[in-house]
Amino acid sequence: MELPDLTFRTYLLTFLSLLCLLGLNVGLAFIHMGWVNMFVAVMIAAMQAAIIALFLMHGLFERAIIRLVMGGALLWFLILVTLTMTDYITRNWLPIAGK
Amino acid sequence: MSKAEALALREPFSTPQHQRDTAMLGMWVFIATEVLFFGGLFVAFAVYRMYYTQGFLEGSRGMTLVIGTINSAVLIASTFTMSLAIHAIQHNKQLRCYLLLLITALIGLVFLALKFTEYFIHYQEHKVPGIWFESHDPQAGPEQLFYIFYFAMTGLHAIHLSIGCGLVTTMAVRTALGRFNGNYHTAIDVTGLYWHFVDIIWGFLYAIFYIPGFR
Repeated sequence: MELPDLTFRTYLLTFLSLLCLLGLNVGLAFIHMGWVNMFVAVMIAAMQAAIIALFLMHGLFERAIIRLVMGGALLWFLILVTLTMTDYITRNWLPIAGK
Repeated sequence: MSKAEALALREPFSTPQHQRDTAMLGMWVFIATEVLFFGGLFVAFAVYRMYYTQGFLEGSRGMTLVIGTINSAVLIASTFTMSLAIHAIQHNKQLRCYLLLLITALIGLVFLALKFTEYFIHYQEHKVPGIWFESHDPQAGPEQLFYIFYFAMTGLHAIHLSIGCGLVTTMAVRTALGRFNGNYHTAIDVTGLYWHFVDIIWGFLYAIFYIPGFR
């Protein structure tokens, strides 16, 4: 499948939106919200990643098999996060005799 | 089939399109493995960040925020020029594509130069675990752990970017030699995917290492 022929305007808007998100990230970092700061920063980075993957990497216009690979990567990453965190977060929830 | 396509066509592919589709799928699968490769490091960082919140915050405060932010903008600019290079070759504009690829590689080198300047600053501040690390903070242990993650993850990213610079330069040279045209530019497309992915990773590294250090 040939790459979609996006216009220069699309690329420019993508570039500007990425810069705006970077500016937003820096701006929000100056407002002290504790751990929320890093959470918001990661969410903004995820938005930037989505813009790059969907438009600049043409993920939005790709074949089904490539979208399957994209979804698979995301799914396996989420499994990695979920299983690891459910272990570490819940370790001290229950008193264990002898510990 | 154009001359460039005929030159690039390899066994076992019967058509350039089949070869192109396979190459793109291969790069996407490689990117999926890279997601899990970096993903493991990000998850490990998150676990230790959860356990040693204060120490990791101290570590973030030692980051050179201006350089980190400039580097983020620099990589965004490079991802833009890379996209324009692909756009140019799609329209058979070889000279424009060649120049944009060279600019992309140069921007990548600017990023690396700034990154190594930052590493040198950390060295001068005695914040390099295993080589020269000093801290009088009660959180010195976790802070050192933060720097281990910092050097390992940004170092791996820098290696990826260096490879990217080499690939983009190779593509520029091959474009100048007339190996690509509007009908055949698979190698540039695949290199573009890799370059964009490296940019995505930096976005997350910036978020976890630099942002908590802003006051």
